[in-house]
Amino acid sequence: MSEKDSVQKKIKNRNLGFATFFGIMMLWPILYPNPYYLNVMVFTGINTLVATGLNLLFGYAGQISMGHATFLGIGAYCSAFLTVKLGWNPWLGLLIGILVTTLFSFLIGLPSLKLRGYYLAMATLAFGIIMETFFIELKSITGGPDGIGGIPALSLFGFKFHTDLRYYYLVWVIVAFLSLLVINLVNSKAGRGMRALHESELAAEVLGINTFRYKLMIFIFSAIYASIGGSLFAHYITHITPDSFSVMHSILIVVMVVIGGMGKIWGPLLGAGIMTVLPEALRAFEVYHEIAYGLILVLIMMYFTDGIAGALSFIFKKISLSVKS
Amino acid sequence: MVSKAQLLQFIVSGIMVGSIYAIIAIGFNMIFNATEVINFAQGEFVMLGGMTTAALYQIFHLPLWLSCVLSILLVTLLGIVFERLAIHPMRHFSVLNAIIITIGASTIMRGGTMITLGRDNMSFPPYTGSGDKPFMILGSSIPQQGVWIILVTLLLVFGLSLFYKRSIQGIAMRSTACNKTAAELMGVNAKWVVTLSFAMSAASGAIAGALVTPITLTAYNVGLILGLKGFCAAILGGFGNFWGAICGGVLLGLLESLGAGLISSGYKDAIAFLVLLIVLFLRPTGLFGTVKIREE
Amino acid sequence: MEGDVLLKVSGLKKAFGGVMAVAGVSFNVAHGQIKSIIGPNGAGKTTIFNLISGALSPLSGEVYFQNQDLIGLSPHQICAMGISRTFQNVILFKRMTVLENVMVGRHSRVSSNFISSIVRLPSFKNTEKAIMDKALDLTAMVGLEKKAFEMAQNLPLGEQKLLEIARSLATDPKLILLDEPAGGLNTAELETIIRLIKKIREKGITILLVEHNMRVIMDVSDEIVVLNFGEQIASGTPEEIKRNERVIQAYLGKGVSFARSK
Repeated sequence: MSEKDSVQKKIKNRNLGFATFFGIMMLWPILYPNPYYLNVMVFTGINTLVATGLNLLFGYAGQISMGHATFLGIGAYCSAFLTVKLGWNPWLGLLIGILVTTLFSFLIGLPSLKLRGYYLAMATLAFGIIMETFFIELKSITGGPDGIGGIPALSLFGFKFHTDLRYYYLVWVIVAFLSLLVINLVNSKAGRGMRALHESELAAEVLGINTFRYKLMIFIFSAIYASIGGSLFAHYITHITPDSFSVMHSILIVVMVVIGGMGKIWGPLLGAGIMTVLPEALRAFEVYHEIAYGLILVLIMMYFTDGIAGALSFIFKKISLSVKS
Repeated sequence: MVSKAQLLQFIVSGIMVGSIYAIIAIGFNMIFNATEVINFAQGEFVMLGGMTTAALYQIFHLPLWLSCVLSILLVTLLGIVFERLAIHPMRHFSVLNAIIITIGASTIMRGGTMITLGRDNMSFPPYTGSGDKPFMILGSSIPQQGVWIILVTLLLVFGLSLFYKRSIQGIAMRSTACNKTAAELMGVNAKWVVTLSFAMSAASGAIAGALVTPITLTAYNVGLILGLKGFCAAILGGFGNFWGAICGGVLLGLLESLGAGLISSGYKDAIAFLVLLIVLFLRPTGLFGTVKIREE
Repeated sequence: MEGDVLLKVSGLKKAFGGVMAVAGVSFNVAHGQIKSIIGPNGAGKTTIFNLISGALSPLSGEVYFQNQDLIGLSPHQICAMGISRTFQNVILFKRMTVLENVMVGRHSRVSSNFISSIVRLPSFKNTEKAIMDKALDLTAMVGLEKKAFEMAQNLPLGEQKLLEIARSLATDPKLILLDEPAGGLNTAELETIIRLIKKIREKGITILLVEHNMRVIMDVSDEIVVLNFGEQIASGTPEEIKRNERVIQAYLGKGVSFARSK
């Protein structure tokens, strides 16, 4: 078949895959209503959301952020503070979280993205450590090391999302919707611009793409996704403390993106899935977690740069080729 | 209001801690000048220097001086192994990959240390004057270890500047940093220069760790913040610049000490990173920087 | 307007370390003409391109395009003004298709923002179609329509060069800078490039060409500027350059004979 047809087919396959997966996710709780599994899947969903944003930054803009857990924290604390201390509507809290995150990511990205790649990495790391300190010290706003508790549930037209089951559906519908937005973005003019930017910044510039503006927008976009994840996180566990938003967590999110496959569509889901479920399953070996993360990062970067998504699509291709012949 | 004596105290403490930052900053510069890679694991070399010395002293009951020397040797060896295993094969990969690898390496070092030595603080006695009263200089006190820190730093700085100026290896490193191809054409083995720079960087990190632990204690997770502060010092002084690293380190130490003393000590760490962000914002080349930092 | 000065370069200087790569070069490019810059390797030709397109900033000197100062502008701003360029060692977006490469070229000419991309407003569909149509036209113009959906990295060198030119044309340039388009091509591919260059001129686009291949230079150029060690040593029509003593001396012993031209 012609090249054009095979491209159409790829798109159809992808849409089919997406719809199938979404269908399975929606039916899952009916088949496995175990609240523990639901709990893990809710966290997987939130992590997928954050990883999706970071994946965009890594895989397309080719930039590193070492502080994404911080944006999670900003979203979480905004939601927590505004709903608990001021009694505001949770959705408004989520929105304010997005606005504050946009401001911070803009302020950090503006100087850093004009410089070479590692400056953003260091700046976000520094930002992360500063905010960690503020989360702990600003007792009047963040509740200090004890954090903020009693965070109310999200509700829509009176329907409260206060059970694991309801939250499961809420999170995964949001994840599906926001993932769709990302897919739309990647397959658009802006997406081509991002991919071009990743391949060669010089060539992209010369073709009229304002690479700095793109990098900044992608950075802010990815931060917003983390913020939304943070707000969802806050309303789920109802009590947040500063140690959920440490540098270690930022590194964990990086691991998710890397192990899933940078720039791959299914990467964030696979990465978040593995890095949420695996530590849970290996709770007994918690002391080995950190060294495991490091090993995963190094080995994947050295030998499997496309991560698990890349490895899977490679296997798929081999299978479909051998099936054809 | 703050008394003159208190101010002097802050300054003395600032110089002391700034010396450590300076050494770490020099370590960053060494690797960057040889490979254009920012070694996120730099702080871990410092941590390992302190932890290994503490372990050798506390667990194996080796004499203090031997523990220090052995620790520095071991960490240097680790630096070489790290370069051979993870950096050298990746020399053709993108900066993004290299950064993630160093992040992964630092996590491995941190995690490995946590497994073997636990999460608790560890320490060892100062080189001299354990339990003695601190020295008094113009009304402000400095522990004897602090004097050691400043002395060793000065020695290190002096030794390195001699090394770079006079020794064949030092000149080889400088020429490779300037222009790798030209250096190679003149017979410099660039690969070996990279390994040497990692070894020296690890060694200097370990020295910093072995120096500062009697005062600040050490634990498996101190590397991240120390590394970041060292990076901040390097940026402040002008990334890649030897003397800039020293000035940046001392300046950062002073800012931190004064800030913690005059404003609040809870935010001590935040000060360094605020400085980093401000420098990035206003003057990314730092005080003496000449490195090309914008994408061109 | 035909004949008017489109690009004015004067006193351009650029140094790298201690070496003066471009040592005071001045020339004009008139609207609608094909001007070539030739010279031995290291003469500073690509550096001049980098200076004009904004990838480097000069030590001193001026570059005016349609009477607007280009110095200090970023490459994407210069592209928006109507200057486009190719690269000596072809920089394609390797993991994108041929068509996608050309479509990227339309970026600055079609406006659409993030929001319409992610929410897929109806205006989005229209702009995407417009981009794709124009890209298909250009792909066909350079003869690559059959490979429109192939990965750019799978193309042979000759076709990669054609793709890069098609991509540059997608920006609707008034002036296109071609950096050694004939480098590494065989005879048949050379013919194709020459025909393409002439086709570009027919479309009213002005061309500034850097090239080593004398056959191409002599065939397409209206005027030639000769550089050596960053300095201009001659300028004129192909006939004048062929007979110029200084030029012949500069090339003596390099194996290029001016006498052997069609």
